[in-house]
Amino acid sequence: MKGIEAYIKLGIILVIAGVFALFAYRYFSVSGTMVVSYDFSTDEHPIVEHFLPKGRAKDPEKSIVTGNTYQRITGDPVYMNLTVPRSFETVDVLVNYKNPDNQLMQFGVVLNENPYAIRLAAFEVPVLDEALRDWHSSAAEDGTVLLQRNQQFLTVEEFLATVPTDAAVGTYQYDLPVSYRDAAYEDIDAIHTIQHRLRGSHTFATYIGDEALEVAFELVDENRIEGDDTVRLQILDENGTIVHEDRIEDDGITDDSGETGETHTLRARAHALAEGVYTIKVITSEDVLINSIETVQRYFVVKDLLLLDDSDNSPLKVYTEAQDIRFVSSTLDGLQDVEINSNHTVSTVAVGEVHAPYTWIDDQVGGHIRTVQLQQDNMRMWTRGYFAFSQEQYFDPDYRVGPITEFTELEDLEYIIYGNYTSPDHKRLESTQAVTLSLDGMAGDRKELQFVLSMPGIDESEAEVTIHDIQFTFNREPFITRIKNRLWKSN
Amino acid sequence: MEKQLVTIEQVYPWLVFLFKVFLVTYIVAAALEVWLPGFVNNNFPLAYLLWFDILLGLLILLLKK
Repeated sequence: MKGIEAYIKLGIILVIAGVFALFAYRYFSVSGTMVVSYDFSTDEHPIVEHFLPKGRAKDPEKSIVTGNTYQRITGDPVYMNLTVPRSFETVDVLVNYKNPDNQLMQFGVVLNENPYAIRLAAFEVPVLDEALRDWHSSAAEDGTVLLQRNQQFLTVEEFLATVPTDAAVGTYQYDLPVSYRDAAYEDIDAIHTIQHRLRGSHTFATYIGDEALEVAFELVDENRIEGDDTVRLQILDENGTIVHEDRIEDDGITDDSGETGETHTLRARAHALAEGVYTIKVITSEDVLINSIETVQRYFVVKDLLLLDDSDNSPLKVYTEAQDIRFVSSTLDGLQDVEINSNHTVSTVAVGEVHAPYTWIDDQVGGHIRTVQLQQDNMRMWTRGYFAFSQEQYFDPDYRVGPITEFTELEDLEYIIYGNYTSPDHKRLESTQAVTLSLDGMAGDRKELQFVLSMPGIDESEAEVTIHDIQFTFNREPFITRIKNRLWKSN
Repeated sequence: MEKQLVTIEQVYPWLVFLFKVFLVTYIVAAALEVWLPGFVNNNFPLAYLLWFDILLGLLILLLKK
C-alpha cells in the first residue's frame, strides 16, 4: 500500500514537472511558434499592454450584459506594446473587433523610432470591400487584383499596359507607375515668380518638354527652433533617380534666438533632360522660409502639403483637383472662412480654432479644377494631390490615379488596383481579420515590439472602434532546424 | 492513560502532501515568472495556484482545531 502511495506522489510531482516542461517548450519557442492572446480583461498581462495613448484609447471595459471585455479606440494612431522572450521573424495577428462606422483600418509594427518607420498592412478598407462585392474582379499571378465598375479590360496585364488617363483609378498598397505625357506641350518664354512664402520642406512637380529645367528658391532661416537648418534640394526623374542635387549649409545658429539669417538663393539648372515629370524636393526644417520661387517651367505644382506662412496676410487663390483638403491654422491671424469653388458650387470651411484640423470633402465627383480662396495666406493645407498658384501652372502628373484614403468614396472611382488585401469576416456586428507582418528590418533585438492600429480620419468623424480580443502568433525557425543549420554551416 | 499527540500530517497525509507540493510549485513558478516574464502567466494565471495553496492551508488549519 505504501508503495502505491509513493508511486502516486511521484506521479503528481512528475505531472507538475511535465507542465513546467511544456511551459518551457512554449516559452522558448522550441517548435518555432509562440502564441500570445489578450482579451483586455487584465492590465497585468506579462507580455501585452492594452492600446495607448489614453487620449485615443479608452481604458479597457467590461460589458455588464455579456461580461465580455474590450477596449474602445477613438483616436489615430494607437499603439500596443509587447515584450517577447525571443526574437521572431514574422507574426500572425488575429483580431476580433467591431467597426460600426466603417473606418478604414490598418495594422502594423513600428520598425524604428528615430527616424520613425512603420510597416503597415491593410486591415479593413470599406471602399475595397464594397467594390469586391459589386464590381468585376480579375487577378494577376502575382496577386495583384483589378476591380472595374464596368469591365473594359480582360486582364490586369492589359490594364497595366494602357492605364486609363481619363478615368479615376484608386490604388491601395500598390505602386501604379504613371508616365504623364502632354503631346501638345509647348514651353514658355517667361519667368513665373511665386511670391507666397512657404515654411519648411515642400515637394514640387514640373513637366519638361524640350526645355531645360530651371528653378530658384529664395530662402531665409528664421532660427526660431533649436537645431540644424540645412537645406537640401533634390530633383528626381520619373524613376526616382536624382538628376540634380544641391544644398545650403546651416548659418551656424542652431539655438532658438530668432535671429534671422541672410537670404540665400538655391538655384537649379538641369539641361538635356528627357521629356517627363520631375519632382523637386526642398528638404529642410520648419525654421526655413521659402520666400519666393522663380521658374521658367509652364507647369509647376506643389505636392500633398502646402504650408503657407504669413507674409502680408493678403488673399490668395490656390488651384487643385483634390476632392478632400485638410486645413490647419497655426496662428490666430490665420483663422478665416475658406471658400472652395467646385464646378460653380461654393462651399465654406470655417477654420475657427488654432491647430485644429478642418476637412473639406467635395460632394462632386470628377477631375475638374477646384479653386480655394483664402482670405489670408496663412494656412497649412494637406491633400493627396497637387496645388498650384495659378490655373495655367496646374497639371496633375498622376492623371486621375491616386491612393485610396479615408476620404475616398466608391462613386468617385472607375477602377481599383491593389496588391495584398483580404476582406475581414463579418458575423453580425463583429468582424475578424488576420494579418501577417514581417519583423524583418526591425531595429534592436526584436523583443520589445510596438504594434500600431491606424484609423486615419477617426478623430474628425468622431467614430469609434472596439477591439475585443487579439491574438499574436509569433513565428521563427524551429529549434531543431536552427541547430541543424548551425551544424551544417559549421561543417 | 497517557494522551498521545498526533500531527496533522499523520491524520491527513495527502492533504499535507498536496499543500507542500503546491507551495513548492508556486514558489518555483513565481521565481520563474520574475526571471522570465510570461513563463507561467502566458499559459495559466499564477494567482490561481496561490489561491489553491491558501485554500489548502486554511483547510489544514481548520482541521487542526
